[in-house]
Amino acid sequence: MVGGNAEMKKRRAMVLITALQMSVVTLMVVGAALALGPASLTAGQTTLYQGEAQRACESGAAYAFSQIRHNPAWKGDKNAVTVNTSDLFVQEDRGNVVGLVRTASGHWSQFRFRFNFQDGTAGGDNLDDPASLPLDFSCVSVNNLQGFSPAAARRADSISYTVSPSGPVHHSVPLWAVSLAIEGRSGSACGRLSPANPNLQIPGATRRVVEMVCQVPDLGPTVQESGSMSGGDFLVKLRDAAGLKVSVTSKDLARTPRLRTKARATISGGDTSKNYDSNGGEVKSKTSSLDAIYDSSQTSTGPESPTDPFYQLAWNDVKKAEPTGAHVDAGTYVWWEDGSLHYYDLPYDQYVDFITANPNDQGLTPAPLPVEIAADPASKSLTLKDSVYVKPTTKGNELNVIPRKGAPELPPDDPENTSNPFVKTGPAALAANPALLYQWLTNTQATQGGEIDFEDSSGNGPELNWTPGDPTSVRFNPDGTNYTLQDLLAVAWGAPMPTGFGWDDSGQQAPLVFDYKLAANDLGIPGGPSNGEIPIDVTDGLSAADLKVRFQKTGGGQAVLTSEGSVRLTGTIDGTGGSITSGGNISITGLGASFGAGDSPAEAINLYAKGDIRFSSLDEATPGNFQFQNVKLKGVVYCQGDFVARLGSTALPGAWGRFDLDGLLIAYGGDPSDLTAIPGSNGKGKVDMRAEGAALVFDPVYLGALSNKLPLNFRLKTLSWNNNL
Amino acid sequence: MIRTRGFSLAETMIAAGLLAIVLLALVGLITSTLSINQKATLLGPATQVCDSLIQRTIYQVSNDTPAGTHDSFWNHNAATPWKGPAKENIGGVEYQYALYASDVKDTGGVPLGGTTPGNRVKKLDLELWWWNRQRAHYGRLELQGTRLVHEASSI
Repeated sequence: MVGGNAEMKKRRAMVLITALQMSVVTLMVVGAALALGPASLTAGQTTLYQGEAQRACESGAAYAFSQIRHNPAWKGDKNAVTVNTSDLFVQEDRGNVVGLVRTASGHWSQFRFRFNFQDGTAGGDNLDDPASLPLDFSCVSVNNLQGFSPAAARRADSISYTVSPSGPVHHSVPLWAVSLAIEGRSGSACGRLSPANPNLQIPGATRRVVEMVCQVPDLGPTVQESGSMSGGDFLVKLRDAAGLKVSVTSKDLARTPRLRTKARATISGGDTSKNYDSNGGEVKSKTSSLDAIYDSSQTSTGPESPTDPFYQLAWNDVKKAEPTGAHVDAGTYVWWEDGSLHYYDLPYDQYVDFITANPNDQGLTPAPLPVEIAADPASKSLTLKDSVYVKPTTKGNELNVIPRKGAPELPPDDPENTSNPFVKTGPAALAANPALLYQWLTNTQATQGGEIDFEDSSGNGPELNWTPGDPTSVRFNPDGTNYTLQDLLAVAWGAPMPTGFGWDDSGQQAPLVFDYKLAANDLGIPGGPSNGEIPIDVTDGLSAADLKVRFQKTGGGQAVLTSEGSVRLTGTIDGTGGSITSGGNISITGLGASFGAGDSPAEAINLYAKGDIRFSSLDEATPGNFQFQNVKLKGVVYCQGDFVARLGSTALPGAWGRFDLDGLLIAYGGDPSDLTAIPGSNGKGKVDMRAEGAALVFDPVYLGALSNKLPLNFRLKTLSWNNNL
Repeated sequence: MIRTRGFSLAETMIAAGLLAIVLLALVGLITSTLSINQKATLLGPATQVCDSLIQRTIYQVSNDTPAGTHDSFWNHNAATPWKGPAKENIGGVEYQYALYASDVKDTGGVPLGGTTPGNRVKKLDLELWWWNRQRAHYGRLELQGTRLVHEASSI
């Protein structure tokens, strides 16, 4: 029995062990199945979500391209919900864009990207921080479609997600290109997203990032960027006082604050220890030098080749008001002291002659204005609410807005007086009177060396020769050209240099600068109204300080004032978002302190003239009491002729004004549409300033607001595409 | 005489019953696991098929291949499929799909991108399924792909 019990126990033990072994095996199989099944399913789901995240990125790119092609300056700054349907939601917030795409399976996937540096108000991106959609995404997109030089793409730091304008450059975005970095997110975690909360933190979401650079190809040559480019001399005369200087910096600290001139760069006056300050800057001139007091360890100089291109912004590429749109008749609009606006269908010079002879003529009252221009009698202001075209009349194509008695551009005793009628009548008077001509030459040009001469590239051109001390020695030689002595004298006194000609500077044969007013008096050439004033015998106390021209486009954006002829505006000009484009000259007198107060390119105020641009900030607060105001510009100032700014005069030693420009200043000196003509080839392109001090802050982004260079319906070519950074 | 006592009939019946239950559960579990694995295995290629079909569609629309595809796509705006149902046999699996195209308008009711020529945006939906969408233990055998398409950029 004992042996039987033992056997029994042994068998039962074997059964028990076998059962336990099978249980273990079974449990292992069950465990493996439970573990592997969901894991492989999860892997499949992840693949699925990655695909959705990738497609979300591509949806974001499609959205961005649609906006960019509609508005090449777009950078996610509509600041509104732009799409809100049951299966698509997009919101833009000061450069940050968040979109939700509902997939066919019913849940949301998300795309988001940012142009905003999230570095405070305005900042390096000219954008305020987003109000509701800050992004914790370090890749930043850059729209350089309307740029005129490469732009830097930077990364945000991974803590505050702020981009430093001086931070390292991740990659360079070429001209006419856009760099888009888009994050796509998908997965069950996105179930928490909704149009009410499109930008929640969603840890666990499947994430993809696509970064691409796309470009509009073949739009022109690369230009070495510079805050100021002048085809002629760059001349600044500062008031003589300690601390006064010209400061040249760059808004983007990674860009070299550069100044380029095809001729000389000269700063005179100012602080005797340093009147030019540009830390890390560069000056490029014909002579590789800068005639100024500066720290050569901070600012370098170099040669400027005549053939190195400038920013080429041709008249046809400039954004202009449509001739078929809102328009105002060309002519002269005159504010009277009682607040009435009077219209005369006459160019400025003819108006001056007419009103001098008929001082009480009321013209057409009220002046014919479209609804896009609001005239306010109380403030004597004209407000442009939309783009307006100046429609030529049979009398001309100018637009002039002036007070009844005009406005002086310079104080009475200023030695410079380019509007003196001597310029108009002097050449003919001197050409007809050799004795008078000799008297002028010896009085004003005695050190000239006996010759005034402009010539073309072959050396041909009119020459005026004389020998000091010999009244019979005056000779004029047209030298095979069609130019008369009168033409030569007119050019000597400020008329445009003929295309293809320049002063023969080998022997200093450009005329010496002289005082027109004094010369006219000396020679007995009749004077008359000058200096912007219209001395009519009426009672009217309006001055430039009493008038205002304001840009305030309804709904935001840019209001463009376009004239095929010259534009003469008097008064303070302010507002945000405007351009004045002129087929002639632009003359602004009495410019106030806030010309282009906005912080984004769309809010800048830009000026483009086929001729000269001339500022005078002279303010005659009370009769005979003159003071130059400060001028602060934000935008692009581009002229094919000279840029002249008068914010000071030796006649008013204590009342000069500062000149501050945030943007670009270009005096091309030629027609930019002529790709074979080098800047300065028309004998102009001079930057000539008188100011208390000057600060030029280079910021090329404003060019886009003025340029229409991108072809209609442009296409973007993909230069690079990176997945899942 | 040595008397060996085996399991009683009742014990044997109970043990066999328990074993059968365990084995059946095991078989069921393994079958289900195999199905899930199979489904997961198919999901990866199906995702790739989904991507490929969308990319191919965009290419054909962008390049107007065959002729008429561009206008047909960009002029379509209906709840009915723009294309399909159609079949593709890839890797031994017969996939069926349908493509839908719908306009995208902004909050003002204006087509996204304004009226600039070549600047339209469509929402493209792809519905992809295989094995008639359903099979025991497999759940639904389908997936969807959605994205926006821009007319001029091929993106």
